[in-house]
Amino acid sequence: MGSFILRRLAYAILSLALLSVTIFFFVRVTGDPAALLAGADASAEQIERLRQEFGLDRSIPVQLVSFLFDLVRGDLGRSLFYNIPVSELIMARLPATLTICAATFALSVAVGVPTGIWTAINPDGWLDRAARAIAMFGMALPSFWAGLILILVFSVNLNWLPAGSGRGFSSVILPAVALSGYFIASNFRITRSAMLDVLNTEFITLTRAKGLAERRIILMHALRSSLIPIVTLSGINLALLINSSVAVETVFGWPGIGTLLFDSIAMRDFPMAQGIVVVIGVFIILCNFVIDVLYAYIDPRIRLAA
Amino acid sequence: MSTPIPPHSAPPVLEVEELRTSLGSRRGRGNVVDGVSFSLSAGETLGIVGESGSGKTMLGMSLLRLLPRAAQIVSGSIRLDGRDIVGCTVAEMRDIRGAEIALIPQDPMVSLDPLFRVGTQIAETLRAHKPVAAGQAMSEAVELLRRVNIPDPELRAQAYPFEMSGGMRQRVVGAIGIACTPKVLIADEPTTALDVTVQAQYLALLQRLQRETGVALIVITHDFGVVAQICDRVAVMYAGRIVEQAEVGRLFDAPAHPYSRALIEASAAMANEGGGRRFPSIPGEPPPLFGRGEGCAFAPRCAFARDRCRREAPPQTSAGPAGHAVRCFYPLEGDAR
Repeated sequence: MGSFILRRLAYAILSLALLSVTIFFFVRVTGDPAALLAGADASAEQIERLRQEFGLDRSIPVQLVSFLFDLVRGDLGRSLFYNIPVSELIMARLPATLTICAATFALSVAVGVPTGIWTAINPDGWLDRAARAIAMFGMALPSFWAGLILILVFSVNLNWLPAGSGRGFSSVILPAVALSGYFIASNFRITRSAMLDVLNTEFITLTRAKGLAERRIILMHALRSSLIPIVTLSGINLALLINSSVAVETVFGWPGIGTLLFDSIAMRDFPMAQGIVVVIGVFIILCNFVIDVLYAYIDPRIRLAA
Repeated sequence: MSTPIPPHSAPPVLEVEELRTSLGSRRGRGNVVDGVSFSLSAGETLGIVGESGSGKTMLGMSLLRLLPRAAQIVSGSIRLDGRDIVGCTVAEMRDIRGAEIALIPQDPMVSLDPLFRVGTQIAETLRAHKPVAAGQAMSEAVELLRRVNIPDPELRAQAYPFEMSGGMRQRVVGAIGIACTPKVLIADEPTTALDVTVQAQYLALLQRLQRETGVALIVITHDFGVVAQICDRVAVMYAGRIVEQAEVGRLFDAPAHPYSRALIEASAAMANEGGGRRFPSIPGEPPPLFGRGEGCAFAPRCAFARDRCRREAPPQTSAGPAGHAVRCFYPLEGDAR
């Protein structure tokens, strides 16, 4: 297990390095960043000054090395618009996004997985039919629209919950619910189908023939085998979650990283956008690392064969 | 070889009477087990033989009351040590399964949970039925592995199923079967997943375990070789019914039902030719589950069928020595070979 984790960690670090280099070149192949930053009506002199300011007049290898060194130190450059370090802005905004994402993720697991288990044990019952219909609806529901409806009902009409941010736990509820439709539905579906598959296997028949308690059969044997697809989906969902939080952050006025990215692109704040992409990339790589470790923890075949 | 146990020397541990299991689907309902009766004493081995679709596995699953959702027992009784388990509740069945009537499943490659150590999978069976601590259950599991001839049982108990060969996994499921010293053990196609050399070893192991525990063994198989090697008695199933049952020697020497005789001849021919050019077969196909006619289910394929066979189903009648019973209006006489 230890060597497995070390190997996965090495992969994660390698991915990070590749991501950084890719971002570095990506920014530079889309054209001269200095010219882009300066705007269409800038003079050659202004562009040249910007170029020096950002060190773009140095050779590419030198730029790459200094970019990587800065990254390692956590220096993502300065925002053009706010004129303060990008990392400071990101750190100020990141907790808001992570709060929404964590709440949505927790909600999607807490609702989707038990419902999936229950409906797999009792297929074609009324709860199964209802859950499948609602899940179809949840998959198709755009989160920004759900957000608007939730604000209308629970904030404007009923005045139960705040529509904006900054009021502690109560202000997390509506955005998390708005964002969670797709995630609850996908968790429910994958759990239900994985459990149905597992419950039909011969090893589950043998656990019954052994006279084990039903609770042990479902929660120890069947659920553990179903965890692999559930964990795989969770990894994909976490990445998707960060990306789709933008819409909900905008609707609810949450000062998160999604709105920051949106604004920085709109205002062509290049270092800002680049920094956010790096941070999101790091987050996704971290999630994948955790998922790899979880796989190994769940399945001895992965742990021992690797 | 085991000491032969005279039939009915002890009161039967298992008495099945007029058992009927029906299976429903969109196309209708049909009886997959259709009025099956037999009894079994401690230490005795009964072979249940038939083609696939004859209902032999469904019979085994009915005895364990582990039927798929679409199937259920509609009538009859299964008396285990005098107690009819057809009427038992779900919770009562859970206590009975694994402890009094156990299963050795068909395919050991897919019958063990891939994510749990084999020792754990044996120990949890013990803990489901006995008040033993986890550590005690694990050391009993190691002992069970030793009894089924697994080398280095302490080490092997810590292994996962994927780290074991097919023959070894088969012995692990055997150990699970005998873990709580059940009264009845059902082995469903115990050898089909194994290669020939391992088959003989495994059958010998089953016999030894039976001798040690006195368990009554039901072997579900399509292989007369298995029947000849370990069974005392044999029941031939066709279309959900036991069409003939007899002592093994008697059935081989003088099968009374045309179907039994055709099966024995087919498997003898196959053994002789060793998988040669002509594949021996019984003309025709088994009847469909839904919409079976009134008469004998085998009549459409039977060379000896007369009008009466097509009109009414034959009852079970005696065919000579005690214990030899057949469902046929015109049983065969004389030597099959």
